[in-house]
Amino acid sequence: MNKMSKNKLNLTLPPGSIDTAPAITPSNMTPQLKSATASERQGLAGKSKTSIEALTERLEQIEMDDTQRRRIEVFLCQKEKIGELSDDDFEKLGELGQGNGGVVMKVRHKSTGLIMARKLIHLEVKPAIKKQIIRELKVLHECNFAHIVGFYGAFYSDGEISICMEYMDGGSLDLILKKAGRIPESILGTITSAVLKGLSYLRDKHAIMHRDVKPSNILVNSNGEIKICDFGVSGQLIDSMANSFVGTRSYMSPERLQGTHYSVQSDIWSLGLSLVEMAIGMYPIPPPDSKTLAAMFGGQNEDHSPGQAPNSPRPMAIFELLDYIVNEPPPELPPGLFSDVFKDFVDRCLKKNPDERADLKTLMNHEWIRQADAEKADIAGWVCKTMDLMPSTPNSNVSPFSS
Amino acid sequence: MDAENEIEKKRIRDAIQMIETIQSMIDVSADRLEGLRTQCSTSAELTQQEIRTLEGKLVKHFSRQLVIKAQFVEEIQRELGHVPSLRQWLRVVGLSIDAIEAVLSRVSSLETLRERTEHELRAMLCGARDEEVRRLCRAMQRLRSYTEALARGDGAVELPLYWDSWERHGRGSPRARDERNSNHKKGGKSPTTPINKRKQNVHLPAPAALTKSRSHESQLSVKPDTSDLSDNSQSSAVGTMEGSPPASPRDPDPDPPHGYYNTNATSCSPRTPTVSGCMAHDIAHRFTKTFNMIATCDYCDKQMLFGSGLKCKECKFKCHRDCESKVPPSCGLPPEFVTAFKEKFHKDVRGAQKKIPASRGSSIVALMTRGRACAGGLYLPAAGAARAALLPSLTPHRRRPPPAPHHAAGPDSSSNTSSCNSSTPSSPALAAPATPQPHAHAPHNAHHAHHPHHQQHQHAAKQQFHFPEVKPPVSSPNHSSHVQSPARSMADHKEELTSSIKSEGSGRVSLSGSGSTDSGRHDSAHDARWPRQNSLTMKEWDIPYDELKLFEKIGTGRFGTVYRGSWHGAVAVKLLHVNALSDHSVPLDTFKHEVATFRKTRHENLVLFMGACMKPPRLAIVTSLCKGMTLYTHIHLRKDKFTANKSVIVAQQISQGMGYLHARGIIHKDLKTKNIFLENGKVVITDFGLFSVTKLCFGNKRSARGDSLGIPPGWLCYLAPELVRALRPHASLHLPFSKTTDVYAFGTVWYELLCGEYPFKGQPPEAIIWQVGKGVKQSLANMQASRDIKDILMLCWSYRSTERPDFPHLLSTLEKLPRKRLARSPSHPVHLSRSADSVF
Repeated sequence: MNKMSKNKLNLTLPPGSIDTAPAITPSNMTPQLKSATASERQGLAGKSKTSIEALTERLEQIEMDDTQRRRIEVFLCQKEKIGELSDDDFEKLGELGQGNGGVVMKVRHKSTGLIMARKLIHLEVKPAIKKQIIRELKVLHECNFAHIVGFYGAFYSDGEISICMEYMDGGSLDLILKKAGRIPESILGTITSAVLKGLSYLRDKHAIMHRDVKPSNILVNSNGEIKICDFGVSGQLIDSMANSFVGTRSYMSPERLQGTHYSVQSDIWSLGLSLVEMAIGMYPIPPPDSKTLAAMFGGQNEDHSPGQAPNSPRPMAIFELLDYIVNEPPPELPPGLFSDVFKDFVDRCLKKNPDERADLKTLMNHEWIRQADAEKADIAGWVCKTMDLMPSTPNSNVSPFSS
Repeated sequence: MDAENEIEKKRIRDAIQMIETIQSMIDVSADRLEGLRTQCSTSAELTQQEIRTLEGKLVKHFSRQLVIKAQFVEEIQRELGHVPSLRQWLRVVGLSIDAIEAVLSRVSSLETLRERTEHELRAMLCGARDEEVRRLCRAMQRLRSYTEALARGDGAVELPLYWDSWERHGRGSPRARDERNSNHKKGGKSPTTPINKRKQNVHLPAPAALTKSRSHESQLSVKPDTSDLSDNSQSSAVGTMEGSPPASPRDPDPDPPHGYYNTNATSCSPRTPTVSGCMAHDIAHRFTKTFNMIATCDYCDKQMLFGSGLKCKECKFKCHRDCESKVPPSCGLPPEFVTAFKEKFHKDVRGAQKKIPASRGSSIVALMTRGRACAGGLYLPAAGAARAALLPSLTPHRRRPPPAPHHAAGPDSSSNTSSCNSSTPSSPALAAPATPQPHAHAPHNAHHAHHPHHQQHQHAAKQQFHFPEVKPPVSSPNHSSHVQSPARSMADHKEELTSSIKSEGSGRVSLSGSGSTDSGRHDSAHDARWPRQNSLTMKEWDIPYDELKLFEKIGTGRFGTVYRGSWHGAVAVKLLHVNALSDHSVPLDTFKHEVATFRKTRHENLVLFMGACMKPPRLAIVTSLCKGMTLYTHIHLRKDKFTANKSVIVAQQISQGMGYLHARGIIHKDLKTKNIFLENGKVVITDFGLFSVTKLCFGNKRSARGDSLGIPPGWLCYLAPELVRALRPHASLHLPFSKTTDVYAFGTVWYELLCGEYPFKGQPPEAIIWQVGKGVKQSLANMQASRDIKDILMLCWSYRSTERPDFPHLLSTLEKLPRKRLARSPSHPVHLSRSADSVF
């Protein structure tokens, strides 16, 4: 469990989280998280960390409200019952979707009855490489946060890496978007707030950037929870993936496309682009002309008009699309349909120059986010309504467990 | 009474249900047939067989519907009025929309159509292409015969039920091939029977099997004449033989030689009322889709886009698909003759114009040909005569004994003879090329031994200038377009000698048997009868799957798994992922097409292609087994360091192999270190030309991903900017591979050799796509190599494809590189974005 072997990405873990490293064993972890502040203090004492770090740690923890903290506790309790995972432990329940590089299955962990999402990534690599990947993925054990999808474990079997994650019954936002047509601004505000918190948690606590922010990597459940997944923890995994898929959409920032240095700011671009897409109901590059927009927003109110433009295929070559991102003006929200603060928020995210782009901190303090935090949109209700879920289901992970 | 009624009702219900069931089967089959015709290369034997099977099925279905329907009284028939659908039937037959409408405007139901005589059908389709008339006639005949058989309660009878509704580019050729193939399979009378057997048949009367409708007949039949009428019955009956020689009892050995040389033979041009016209000819091109060509259309002189072209297998004439119909059927004529022809044509036309009856004026029927064999020049008269002699039998509706003996020139042609001769002496082609003669001659004689060799020779020599007169009697001024003939080299022409054999089919095998080529393609004389053709390829290179022994898996490619195997020694067997290929003949066809190109390769630095298993679902490519490891393994897995010297040696060998491949007209399309083996220092390149198969096999996986493109690791680095820019997230991905894209890929291999990693390492695919598409190159600043070496890289990676060197050039550059000295990087940073104008 030394930190260097884990840290394949050359990411520096904040001292606070180093202490939590031994907590990977569930028995250790649960008490620690039950009383997060207490364990932090222990860490502080042991490692004599600077008080600023300790403070931010605590502040981060405070970021989570009681419900969120309790949920994480429950999650960790459940996880505690699970030892090492293996292929035999699971019963297939269905396919949830195709992620980048692999399929995601809904599975039941037989012995505990837990429902999980199991992502299978086909890899044909040497044992050393796969061990390295599994090791790198263990960083995920430490990512316990209200807006990060929970991680049960990873293992290798039969040419495939399996990553077992918390099952989110609402699915990803791209699926929801397909169903809903568009996502209302108020909901987007809350979602954005959650994503920003998740991103800054990853950056502050684990010094990792997401690298792949897009609607399909933001998950929701009928409890109203919003979590991000699929962030780039394992560099080796990325390198070893058999195929990468390039599609009709790209959320990659101009600076990354150009092969220059990039940073967390790149995630901000991706977030901004995702927001425009979810707000207008179609991938915004190239931007829809006024006619298309008029057709889409004909009667302002019909928010849920699926089957509109979002899925219409674009006859653009991949290069054309990417070149558009690099060389054309950035997309923006069409005027008159959204609040000015929302529009401003998006514009700040979609600055082509990463230095001009707002950073995480600025955005978290943005008026639009503050409004959203204050309003407390009913995500649970919206998810259930859109995805036809019973509001009670989110506890499906708990129910088999408690029943 | 009630009970009876009940029974009757039930019977009706059952019948209706039955008819509906059949209808749904028809729908399915018709769709598939349509797909096969339009989306698959119908020149492929397999596609043709499938089409036939479907045609047979459809005939049965339609017949059943007809028979079931016929059992009932009108009342019920009315209820089922729309079944069988006439329109559907016509579509199944393979008529164009116009033709369908024409028929529909005259006939309301299939039953009515069935009653029409062939002549009536012809009249109905007077505006349609001849091929369509043929199809309809035959299809109707099939339908009639099977319906009758069904009515007799003899539904199981073995009847030939297909009518070959695919689009033929080269008339005659597909059928010819099929005949041969089916003969092979059924062991029937085979055109492949030994030559001497053929000789015995030489004097048989014009065989019905030669029946062949030809596009020019459409012009002829515009105005049906009496001969058409009287021949109708015959042709419909005999027509059944087309494409089904073994099944046909009336199928005589379809050898054409009768009359070939025997100018006194009974056969002769039926078209006695000849006018002094000009010579023309009518050798259909055998167009195939070309995949890799970027060229100019020989017809309209416009640029052909990638993949939009057709190319005649024989004469290399290239044109747009759209131009195909307009291209004169002039395959097989060397340019010199075209010149001669043109001269004569213009001359004659001027004189003839007035004489030509208006109705005939529309057609120039070039009878001259079939004899692609006329290649060398020497054989022209012979071929011409034969052609003329054959003609009657070639035209289905004029199969009567030719009225007059034919002596090389038609009865009407005496005047032409001289004019032709006088007009042509300046033409170089008329001086028969010396070299090909002896070669080509011997087999020719062998096939037509009834003429003493010397006599023939003399004859030929004497008559060679007569060639133009064998032309059709009818000519027209407005057919000057037909004169246009592909320009091609004599060398190509020689190849045609052989190709004519197969293209002209069994009937003409002996005729053009003269064609053992000196092109070096064929190892033995008997090969000459099977040259350059898919079916040949199939035959020669087909390895029965059962004969293969498979051992352990040695690799998994994108489209298949490679096994170590045994087939007369150690081999590598690449089994294609068959389930991925299940979508029928498109990939299969591509597979065959590509296999056809492999057999041309024989080079030290290329893997030896040994054969292939072509029977789906067993598709495999068998090559020699590469020992050693791939460059990829060396570089990326084992992290072996290649010294500059070693890199140069490896690169030289790659250039050599690639240069050879390109010289053979093969584009690798997937040159990468994973496809290059190092066997004790010797480079062996594998997997050339397989990319499209790859892609197609990949199709399924990709389509499951919806609108995204799967990108295997490392692949992008090998793609030239023009390819990268063409990447689309759809299955219809069509990349403009060319020789220069291979050179670009070579550049990447060169980089890997030198640097031990991929360019753009660690960058996401999108970033590579944008950068490469934009002309950004991997920086060489940190690369330890001499300027010369970097310059090679720069040139290979040139953004503009025209600026990339070719492999011979690369080879010589690599050879000039200083070997011994340790390569040092120049002191200044060499950035790839600078212009690379220095070295060459």
